[in-house]
Amino acid sequence: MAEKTTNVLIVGAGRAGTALIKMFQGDETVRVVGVIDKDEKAVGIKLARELKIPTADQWKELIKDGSLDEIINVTGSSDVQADLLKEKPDQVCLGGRLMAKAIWFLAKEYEIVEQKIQEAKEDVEAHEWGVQKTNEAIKTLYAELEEKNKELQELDRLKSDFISTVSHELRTPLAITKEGIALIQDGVLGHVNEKQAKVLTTAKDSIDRLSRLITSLLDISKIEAGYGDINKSLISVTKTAQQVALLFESKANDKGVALRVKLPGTGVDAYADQDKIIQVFTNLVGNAIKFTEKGYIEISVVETEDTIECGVEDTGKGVSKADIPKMFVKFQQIDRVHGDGEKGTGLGLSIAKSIIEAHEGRMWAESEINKGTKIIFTLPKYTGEMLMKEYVNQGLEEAKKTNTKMSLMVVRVDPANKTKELLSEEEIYSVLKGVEDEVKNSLDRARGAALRDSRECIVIIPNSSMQSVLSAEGRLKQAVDDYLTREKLTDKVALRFGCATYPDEAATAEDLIKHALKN
Amino acid sequence: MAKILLIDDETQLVEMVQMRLEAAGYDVITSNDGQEGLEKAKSEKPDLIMCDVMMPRMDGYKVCGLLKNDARYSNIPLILFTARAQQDDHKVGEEVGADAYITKPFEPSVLLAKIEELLGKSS
Repeated sequence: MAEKTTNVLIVGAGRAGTALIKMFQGDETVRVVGVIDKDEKAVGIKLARELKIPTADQWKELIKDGSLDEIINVTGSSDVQADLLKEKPDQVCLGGRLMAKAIWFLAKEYEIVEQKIQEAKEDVEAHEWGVQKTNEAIKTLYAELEEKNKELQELDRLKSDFISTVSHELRTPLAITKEGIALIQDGVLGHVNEKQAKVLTTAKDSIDRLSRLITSLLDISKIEAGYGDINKSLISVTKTAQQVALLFESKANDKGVALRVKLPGTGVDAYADQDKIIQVFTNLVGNAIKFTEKGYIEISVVETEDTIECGVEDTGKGVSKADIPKMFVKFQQIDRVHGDGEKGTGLGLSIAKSIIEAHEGRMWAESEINKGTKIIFTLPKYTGEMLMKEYVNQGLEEAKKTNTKMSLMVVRVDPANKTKELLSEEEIYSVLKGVEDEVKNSLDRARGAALRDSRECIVIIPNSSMQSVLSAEGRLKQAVDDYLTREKLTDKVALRFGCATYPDEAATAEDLIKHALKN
Repeated sequence: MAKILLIDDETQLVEMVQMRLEAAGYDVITSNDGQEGLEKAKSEKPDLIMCDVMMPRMDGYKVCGLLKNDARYSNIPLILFTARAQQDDHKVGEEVGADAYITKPFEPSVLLAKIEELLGKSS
């Protein structure tokens, strides 16, 4: 049976009424003839007006004869219900078919919503499971990372052990051979004739050469493996250059080559490994002498704005532009013809470059065939502050690592006002150096000293309590007093001593020094 | 004549060095093992000890440390010698109280000079 349009009046424009209006909009068989609500601002009223449905605050206003089939009361008010029951026209149904339809409809909506909630719940669960799995995966990865890290550390240790072992294994038979030859050569086991002596000398020279080669190879493998054994301290680059020049003076003279040193007026210091820098200079000057027959060799040290630039220049054979990059390559000896002197290993320059790079410097070469060569390397500039801090921080790091105390002592040079004579910077520097030596002698556990802006000497004593450092200070004061007396400096120089202990008195490098100087 | 105790697990090297030292006029007693060497040091009371670092049962550092921490033997000059590579080894040598540290292969003249120096100091 075709449904004819049912005209319905909705009484109550709250949530329920609004839902009904919306619902019936989609239903062709229903016509909402009016919406009633006492409150003009009710949501349903607003919606009804938008939909051009008549509204009123009294239901009686909207009853037209014969055109109303059903009234739905969703006010929830029993008074309204009673009133409707009493006053409605007889043919109008109160809460009939459409009401049931509405309820059915709403129930369906509710079901849909419930399902959506369930789906959302399942989504969340799945998501949570996903997160948990990710966390587990992260934990696994982390564990793997830790494993790998341990493995790497082990490899590192093996590498270091390997280098040591190889060194030992190679050098031991070498030592035996060398001593064996020497014993015979020195006549300990009987008389040696000239021919025998000659052969033995050749053999010994070869052993020495092999020994140097092994040392070079080990040097390289250590540097490349990162165990360069760089022991930095404040060194005088200018003095080092002069030292090396002195070593080669006679060789240069013999060859008729002038050896000169070009240095700035004041000394230039750097924070570097003394032995290694000597090694570098020695290698460069040695090479220069080897390949220079006439002219000069010049060792220079120049302080630029942010580096210390050292150079070794010669007027020797030189190297072609194409060959310059080859100079630093291992075992690559560009021209095998060279004069007397020990045969090179072809590793020297390569090692020298590695050493400089381990100091965060650079090394490069400039050369022209038959004109000469200049090898230049740089070392970073260090201020006294940086040096001191690094030195103290090293001590602190170790104390933290081994969970022990660390003390530091500061010895400060104050030009005494006894004689009103001011000491020159150089004199202060040499006094401090003297004090440094006294420190090293009187404190057997001291980690050496560091100089700070040439007025203070800082000593680190690892693993020491406050009492032990005070007694050490006493010993040091005595030793330094003796030193000053010996050098007749007692009247010229006053020294202030102070000490501080980590972690009791301070926890950072700056604070420790401040505390020590306070006293 | 001064008595020197030579401790090194490399028998061939011990032979060589012994010949060298005896030619220089020293009495030499030897041991190829750290533990045994330690005992010989205590029983024979040599005037100087030369001890290799890398040895299997007890290494040179241990021998040195034990002797130097014992007032009865701490004044016997002790030279550690080794073919090991690292600079740290020198430091460890210092820490255990060695009087000198010589690396192999060594110059015989250097070794003899060092021995003379140390014996001169202790007498």
